[in-house]
Amino acid sequence: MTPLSNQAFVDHLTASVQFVLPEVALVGVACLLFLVAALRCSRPLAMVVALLGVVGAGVIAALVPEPVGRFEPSLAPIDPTGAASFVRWLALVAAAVYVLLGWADTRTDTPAEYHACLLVAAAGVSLVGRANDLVSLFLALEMLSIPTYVLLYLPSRTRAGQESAMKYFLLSVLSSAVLLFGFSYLYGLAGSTNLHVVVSSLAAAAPHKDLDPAVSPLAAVAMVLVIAGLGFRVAAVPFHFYAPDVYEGGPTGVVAQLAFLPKVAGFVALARLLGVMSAHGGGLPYDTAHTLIPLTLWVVAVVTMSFGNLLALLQDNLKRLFAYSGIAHGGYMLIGVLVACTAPPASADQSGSDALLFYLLAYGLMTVGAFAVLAHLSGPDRHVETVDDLAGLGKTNPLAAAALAVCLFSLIGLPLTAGFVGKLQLFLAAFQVPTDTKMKSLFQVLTVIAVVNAAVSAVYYLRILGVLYLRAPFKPAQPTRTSPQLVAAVACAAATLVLGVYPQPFAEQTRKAAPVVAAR
Amino acid sequence: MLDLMLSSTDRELDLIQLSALAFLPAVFALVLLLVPSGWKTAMRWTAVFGTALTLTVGLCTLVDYHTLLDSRSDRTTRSLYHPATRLDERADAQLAVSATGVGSYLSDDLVARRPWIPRFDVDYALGVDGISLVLVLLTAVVCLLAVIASWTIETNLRTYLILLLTLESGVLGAFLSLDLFLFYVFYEVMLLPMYFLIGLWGGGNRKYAAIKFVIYTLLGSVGLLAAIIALYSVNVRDFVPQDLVKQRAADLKRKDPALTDAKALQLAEVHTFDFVTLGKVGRAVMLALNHQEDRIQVARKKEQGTNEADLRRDRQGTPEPVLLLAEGVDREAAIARLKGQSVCTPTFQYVVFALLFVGFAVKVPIVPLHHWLPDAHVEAPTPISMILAGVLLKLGGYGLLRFAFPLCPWAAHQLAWWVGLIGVVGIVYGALVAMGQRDFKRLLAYSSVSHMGYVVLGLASWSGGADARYWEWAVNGALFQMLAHGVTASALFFVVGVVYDRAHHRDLTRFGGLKEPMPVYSGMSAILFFASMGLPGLCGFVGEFNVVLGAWKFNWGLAVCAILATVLTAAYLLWAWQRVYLGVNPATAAFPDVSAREVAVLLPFVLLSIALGVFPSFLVYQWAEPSVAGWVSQLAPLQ
Amino acid sequence: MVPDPVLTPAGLEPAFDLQAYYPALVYAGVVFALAGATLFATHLPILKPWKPTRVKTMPYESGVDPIGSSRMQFDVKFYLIAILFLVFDVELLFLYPWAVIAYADGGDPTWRAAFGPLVFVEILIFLATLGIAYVYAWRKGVFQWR
Repeated sequence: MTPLSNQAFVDHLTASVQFVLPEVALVGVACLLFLVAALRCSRPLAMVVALLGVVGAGVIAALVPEPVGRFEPSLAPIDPTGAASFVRWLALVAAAVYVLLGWADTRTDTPAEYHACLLVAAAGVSLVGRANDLVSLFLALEMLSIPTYVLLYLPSRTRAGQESAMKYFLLSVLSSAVLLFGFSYLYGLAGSTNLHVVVSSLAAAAPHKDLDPAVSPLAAVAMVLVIAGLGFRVAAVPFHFYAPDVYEGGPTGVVAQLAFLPKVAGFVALARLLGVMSAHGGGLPYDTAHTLIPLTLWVVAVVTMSFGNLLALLQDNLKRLFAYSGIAHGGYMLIGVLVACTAPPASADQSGSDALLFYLLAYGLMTVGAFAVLAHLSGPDRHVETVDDLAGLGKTNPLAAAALAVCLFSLIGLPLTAGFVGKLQLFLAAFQVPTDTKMKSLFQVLTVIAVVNAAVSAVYYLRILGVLYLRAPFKPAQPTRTSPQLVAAVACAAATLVLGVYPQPFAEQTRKAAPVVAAR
Repeated sequence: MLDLMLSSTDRELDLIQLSALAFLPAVFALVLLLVPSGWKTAMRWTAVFGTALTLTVGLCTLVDYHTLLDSRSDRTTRSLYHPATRLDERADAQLAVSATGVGSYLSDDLVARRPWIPRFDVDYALGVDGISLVLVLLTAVVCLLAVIASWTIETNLRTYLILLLTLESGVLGAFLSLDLFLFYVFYEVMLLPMYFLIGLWGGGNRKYAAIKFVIYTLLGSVGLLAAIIALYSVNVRDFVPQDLVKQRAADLKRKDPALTDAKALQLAEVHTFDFVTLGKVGRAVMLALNHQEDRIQVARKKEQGTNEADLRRDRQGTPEPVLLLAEGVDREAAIARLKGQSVCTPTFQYVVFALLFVGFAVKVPIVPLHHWLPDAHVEAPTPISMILAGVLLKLGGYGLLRFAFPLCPWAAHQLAWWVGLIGVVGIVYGALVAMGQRDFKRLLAYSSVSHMGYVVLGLASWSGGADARYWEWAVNGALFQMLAHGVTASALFFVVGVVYDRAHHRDLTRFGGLKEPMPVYSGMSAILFFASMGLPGLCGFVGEFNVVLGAWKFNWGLAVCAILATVLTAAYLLWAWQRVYLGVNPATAAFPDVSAREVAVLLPFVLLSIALGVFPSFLVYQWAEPSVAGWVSQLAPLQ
Repeated sequence: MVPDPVLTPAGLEPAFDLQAYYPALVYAGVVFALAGATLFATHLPILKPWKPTRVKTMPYESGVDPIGSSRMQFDVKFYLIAILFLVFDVELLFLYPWAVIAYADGGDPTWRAAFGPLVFVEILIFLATLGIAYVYAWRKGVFQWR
């Protein structure tokens, strides 16, 4: 009996197309941009076409209904429930911001290619949120990675730029191979590539482990490989080595992308593979009672946040600093994954996955906002490389400085910014794991470590803040030009504040996007 | 229907009044943005007007609060104390109303509550009682005078005033918050204005001082945040109106239709940032840990006319009951549930108390964590030093009084002696180090450390049972000491500012002979010096006296040390006075006496320090004391 | 001991059992033995007479002299040609099974009924995408042999 003779399966396969229409639109516009690039394309034209593409995809996403009525998750390759639409909107909004940011990086002769790659990457992120099959998940991840190689190379033909592109390419390919290796184990264990089937058969096999805990070490091996493969994308220690070098050499707009999109994709993919963030999750295969995977995640989270923050203290180069800061924030987000994949009871108010989604949103706003300010400031005549290059920005460039300051406040986690609400949610989630969880005390220790880390991180962010406002500028004030990057920066900063002051509607959305998986 | 509408407007009035108190300065900061950039005088007057208006609203609130106390007071006794006017009772009544949507409650109860982020049970909850009102009024006065003292600031005046007003808003909001989350937000909001005020308008080493201030304060707030997270994780379902629990159970059922009603009700959890509710949990935990859980009782309906006194009469001979659990709760199940939670373990209590204590100790500052204060004071411009000493340090004391003790009473009781010891060490250490200073501001900074030690000692003087009134004296003293120190310390920092404007240095060894050219100034500063020293008849005496009186019963050794330290205080202050004002010094002979503006700042301080010393009861105690009595009456019987 | 079976969507299946894989071990043993024997044999004087000359002692007896810079530069157009070859080659690789499965006589009728038209459209989209790549490469001057 082949699956093809199952009519329901065939129906689900053909019906999947309607769940990816916005992504199809994005890729279509990307193809159009490549065609336009083949002729001759000016910078504004490419930007406008790309923006229209994003808006068009957004309109399709908003207007085209997604009938999920007779949806059977063990058959469909695309799962539009759970976090899917949240991730899609996140990708679309991010794409719009990145198109604005791209203005700084498209001074070369390839603006259309740049934007085309950007749209494909955004489509890839969006697909990660709804892939319900190991194959489609891997394809979605590659749709994000491959355009990124091109993007890293396109704008800068400098040695550092080439080095960063090469480094990212080689390590990314390696991580994809490791991830695939893990996928092959999962397939071998479950006998299916369907994510729902994989998760539920692993979860269903778990009760046997009480009798013989060594039955399925392969499941743990598979997940370790997956964590390694995705750890590269989210820049978790010890898979973070590329980040500072790549950030330093890469063009600012692309680095802003690199700081956010792979994190979204990596964390969402990890959460999906651990059995959460889907309305139809079939139990938790890797809870604390049955495997050591949560402990592995615990260690990775602690090491990632501590390492990132400590090394960020030593940095002078802004992009390296933000690279390490991004690593540290990845560590905080791992808390969300960790809490989500341990069994939450039905009454848990804070589930790790909605805290994770909220933090992804907050992190995206503050980090992309900060990079947008850097992109705004650096131009052919002025390079912003080190922290000292920002001296006196508060006087010479008040608007950009204010936007950067808001983003920094948020990164520190001061109240009334998105970063605070996000951190608080993560910490609350970690502290509130039910008392009968096996590693309960470890979770409390984790919270304390995270809170201390948040305090340590304040030191290096405050250093930038001090340079911004308390130091005299090196150069006299230049006339400030408004640029698309500045618009993006101000928008991100404003959104950071809105999310900090009134997070309720967004928190409701993330809660809807991350349904609590009932404990077994 | 009309009733309902009327009552809702009453609630609006409280909301508006308390929000205005907290946000008026911030509103005026926004108004400052509209003033054209050249009009510096207009900006200054706007700021003066804003702070004065805030003070007015504060005084109106005082009148309202006094009326509230008066309306409920028992005419036969002198005290205005009545259980129903306690902040926690009023907040509870409000909570019951907001849980059901309807109901009778005390109108004009000076408590306001609105949902802010329902997703995390965060309320926008403001309230006022005698304890917070003392500090609110102090803040309003000091900020008004600090704005007048800022008249000489010229560079970036607009930004300066905006930051100052934002700072005031943050402080007032923190004093008024009833919700831990809201409190934390306001607490952190103060951080950045202070950072910039020191960092941009400070002295030569300002960047170092500013970053040191921020790092120390952040260290403290990290502890605070960790404690808040831990407290939020407590399931408080047996301590809140049971309608709320039913709502949560309904939510659960909506999420998972497979649950039965009973199961959902059993699983439902309620978490809160409301510190009145969390205080009840803390008290219940204290009873449970002391093996007195039979004293934990369920509250009864108010209409039945039973209150604690009646219940006490009913149960003659049995241990005194404490009504902590909400109406309609199954007592046995609730106690079992409480004991099953990690909040009911000594470790939890100790750790959370330690986190809260360290968090606020940084602000007080308590001795090992005081290191930021001298630097911040030395580098900050005069008006900012005034606010720092007069207002910000009080937040530490207020936090200990409002949060650390009531939320973890068991740990507080266990550690009371150590906390008192830390307070005494602060008193003695601050005084000794102050004696060795050459910098005038640094001397005053260390004197602040010393004086705030009395606050800590007063709070820690835990005497329960029949001796509870000693503790009440001590806490009253601590509160008064905060007020008195706020007045004298900010005044003395202004005194330094006046002489710094003329001499452009603060080196005590190079002053002298100021009495001759500046008689008015010297006279006023003499009064302030003596007030700070604790001379009877001036404000410094009242607080210290009450604290030591209460501490004597707690531990006479600590009390003796605290008394002896006043000798040291007198020594360093008199010595400083001598070095600055007496003698003959040609370098200072040509200094002009204080200007009208400087008198306008100094005179209120001088008058306040005399008035508070002569009429402490009439001015402060008669309305502040009932709140302290309520505070002590909750904690003392638990022991 | 045989472990408990694992529940998969196809029903209960035997769990992973290492013992079942013993032929792989035998195979590995044979491989190592053979390799070791070969290495050993090359050092036997009977099989390997030792008469060295300069050329014989070089790492490779024939071919290019291995001493020198390893950084030999090839013209970039070779890479371009290689990539363009991939464009067409992969296209063919993909089209072949499609044509065989979808339209050959021995194909699965259920499959054809369900997916025939859809897959046809998909192949057209695929070809169009490649066409775009082709046009792009052409307009960027990849086909000019400079």
